[in-house]
Amino acid sequence: MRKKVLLTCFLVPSLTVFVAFFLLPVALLVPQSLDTPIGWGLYAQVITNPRYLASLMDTVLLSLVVTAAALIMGGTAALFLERNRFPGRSALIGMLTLPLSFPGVVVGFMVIMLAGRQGLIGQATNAVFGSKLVFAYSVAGLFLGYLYFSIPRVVTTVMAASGKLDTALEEAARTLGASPLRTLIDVVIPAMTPALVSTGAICFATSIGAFGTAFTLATEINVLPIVIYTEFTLSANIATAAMLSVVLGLVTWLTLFLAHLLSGAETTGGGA
Amino acid sequence: MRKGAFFWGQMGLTLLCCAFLVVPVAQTVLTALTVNAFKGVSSGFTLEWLYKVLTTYGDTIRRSFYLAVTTLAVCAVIGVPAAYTLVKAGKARWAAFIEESLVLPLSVPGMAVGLGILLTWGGVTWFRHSWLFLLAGHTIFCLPFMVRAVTAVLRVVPLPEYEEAASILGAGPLKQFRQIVVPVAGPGILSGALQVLTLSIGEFNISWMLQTPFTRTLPVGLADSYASMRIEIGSAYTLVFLVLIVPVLALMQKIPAFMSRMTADNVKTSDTPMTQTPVVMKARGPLTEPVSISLDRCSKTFGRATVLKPFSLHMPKGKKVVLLGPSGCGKTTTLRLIAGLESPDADGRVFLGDRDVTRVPVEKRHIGMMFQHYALFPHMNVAENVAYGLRIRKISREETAKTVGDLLDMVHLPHLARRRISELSGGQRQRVALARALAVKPCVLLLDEPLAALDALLRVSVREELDQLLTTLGITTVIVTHDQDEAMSMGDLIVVMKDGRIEQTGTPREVYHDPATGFVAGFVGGSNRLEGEFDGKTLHLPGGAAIPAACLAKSASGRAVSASGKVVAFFRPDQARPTEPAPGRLHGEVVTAHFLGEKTRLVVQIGETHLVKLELPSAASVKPGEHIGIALPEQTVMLFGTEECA
Repeated sequence: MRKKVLLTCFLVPSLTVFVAFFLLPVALLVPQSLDTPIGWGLYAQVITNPRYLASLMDTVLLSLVVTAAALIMGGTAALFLERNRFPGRSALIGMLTLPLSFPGVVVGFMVIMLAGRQGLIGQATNAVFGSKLVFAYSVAGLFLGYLYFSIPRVVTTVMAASGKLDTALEEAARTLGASPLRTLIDVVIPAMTPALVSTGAICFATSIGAFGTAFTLATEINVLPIVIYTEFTLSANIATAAMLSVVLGLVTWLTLFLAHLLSGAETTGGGA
Repeated sequence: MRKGAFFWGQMGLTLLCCAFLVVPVAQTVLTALTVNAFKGVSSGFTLEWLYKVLTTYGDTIRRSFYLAVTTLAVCAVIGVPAAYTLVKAGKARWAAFIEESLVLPLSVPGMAVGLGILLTWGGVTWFRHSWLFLLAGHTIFCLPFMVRAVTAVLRVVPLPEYEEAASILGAGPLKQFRQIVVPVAGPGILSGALQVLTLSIGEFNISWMLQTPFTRTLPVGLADSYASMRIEIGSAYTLVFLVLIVPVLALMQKIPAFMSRMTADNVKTSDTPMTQTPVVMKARGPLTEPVSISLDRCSKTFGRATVLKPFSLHMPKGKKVVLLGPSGCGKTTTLRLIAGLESPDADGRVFLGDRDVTRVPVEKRHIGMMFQHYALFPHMNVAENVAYGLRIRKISREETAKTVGDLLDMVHLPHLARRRISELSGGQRQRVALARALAVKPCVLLLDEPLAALDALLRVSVREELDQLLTTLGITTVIVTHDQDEAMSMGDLIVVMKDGRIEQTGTPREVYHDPATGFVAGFVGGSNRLEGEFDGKTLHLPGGAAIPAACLAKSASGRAVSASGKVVAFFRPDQARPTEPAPGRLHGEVVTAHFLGEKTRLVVQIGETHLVKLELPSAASVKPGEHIGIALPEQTVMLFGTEECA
């Protein structure tokens, strides 16, 4: 079959690139991480080394909080915009989705603009209270940054999912006597669960792996990607960097994979 | 509706989100353009910072631009064919696995991927120091978006139909890909391309790991400018980035509109018979010398399922042959065997005239086929669709134009030559599809459910036009349908099929008046079916009816009914008459009586469980609940052995 040969040939270039620049490099991280006298003992050290452990816990905790906040804020905004029609609606949608394509470093800069030394919040508090409120370089700043790139992701997913929702379901609930809030809780949110799970997983995975934002904020908090980076460049500790990368990669991949199994929806990240 | 606290609460939160996202952007733009970031707008506007950025970081901006364009080119060249293969593989396990694998780079943080690439390929110095190193990183990150965007589009369009239509018009696999698949995937490629551009321009994590002092990209430069702590420079640089990506983002908003133009499925709702007066399609005379079609010992199995049992069938040249049967009977498979879209099992042979075409690929068979949903190419206009087969055959421009003009005249659509397919009504699409099939002057014409996609009211008038046209053209035509009215009115010869077997081949009259099997008797003419016993003289039916042998229809084929045995009796709804109940007569209670204008349709319950239909002149007045007898005139009851009616 001429067609079968053609179709097979069509797949070869993509697969070659994939194997050469993803599969092989990521797989080779494992032997690299074992390239120390203690071998697998290095993995045991992560759990015992308070610095790495704290970094891992901080990163996970922060990502969880960000995910929850983004789901509430972005989810509300998305549902509101999908359900209501008013002048300026498309402008609001535009604003909410614009940062989707911002790299992590730009997101970090946005937080500096808001809460940095010369930021808006600082100037406002200076004018009102006479003292500058600066938190861009603390956990709060990191939280704002992660929230900044998470909200647009939630908004796009939830809007797409709720657009497909049959509005008759809600109307049926209303005719049966449910208030708007009850309708939301009893009908809309259950129907949206797959979308919420998948977008939540994406936010969580993106937050855990977010390097650019944390890098720009030069934060006091050692999130995992920053630790990897400093281990690699400053300490030239390649094995540890590789090992932490493996851990990080596994955590994000597992999160997305589980969400995919649970929700059946598309779950792929995209770095920030 | 009154807007309560719930509404305003949501509105407030939405506005808060917007403010949170947009205020820093606005602040960045202002800072980039004002003289003093602290004093704000009052200090006046300046382009100084932008100028400084362009001179200091100009190389990173140019590099990012070139890198994004190159990444896009690579992703398109390797990603579109891969997406096509994945879609063609359908639900195959391996394809799903590859597809999941290709998006894997998005599930792993860029840091880790970058580190892996660096540790694996960093030793290859020339590669490490060239921009190709970054290109590899960007490609692995952007490729999934291209593949996903293209597969998404190719999965919603009827791709197999388009490909089959193209192959019937003479296009080989590579031409199908170039001329049909790529243009149809257009919106997906565009959407993927815009995503690749923004992602590549903004990619930081991998780029930062892979950069050398000579391969610094825009985001890397951005990080550098932020670290310099000069907020005006950082802002101005960010503004440059925004200026680069905002046009791309704006273009992305246009994609849904572009997309809907390409998917021609949405038939315009204005397509009602009221607005469309039937036109008479006229042909000048025979198109080509007609040829006969022969299928010799053909059978077809898919895996373990036998779709067609071995059969032979001859279709005389110049005749209209209808393949009639319920869905799943194998009629469409038979049509596809003739077309070459399927090949018969080992022993089967397909002949067009004297030519054995069994091994001839579909694009070389030179046939015309009209698909059920027409399979008109959405990226070509009406004239281009009709001309496609001629283009494949490299017919000269002038001759093509003349042929297309003639055909559009024939189907009365010359004024629509430049229309997009999505702008046509269903009836117009059908005529374009017919013109396209006839343009190559095919030796036979195959019509797959030619009227099924039309409005019920339009169907009858189109059927008559089509029938007249085919008769004038004198082309051997095979029509697949499940509608017996269509079969009766259009066929010179009807082939009734069931469960992959031919039940009867004959003229419409033969099939109606002299059905060869119980199935044909029941399927054609909507007959009533009752099970009973026949002892050679009397037919015993449910409810104690005893029908004399005189009522039985004589059969030319001499249906054998065992002298005393279980039989199945059929009679037509319009041949039975209601009368007074009498001993030995078929009788029952009227369940419904529907007045339909020219006739009245009764449903009568016989015995406990049997329902029969009667059609009476509308003058007759029978009411539900009445108990009536049913008179069966002579030679109206068709009898078959039970085994024939399984």
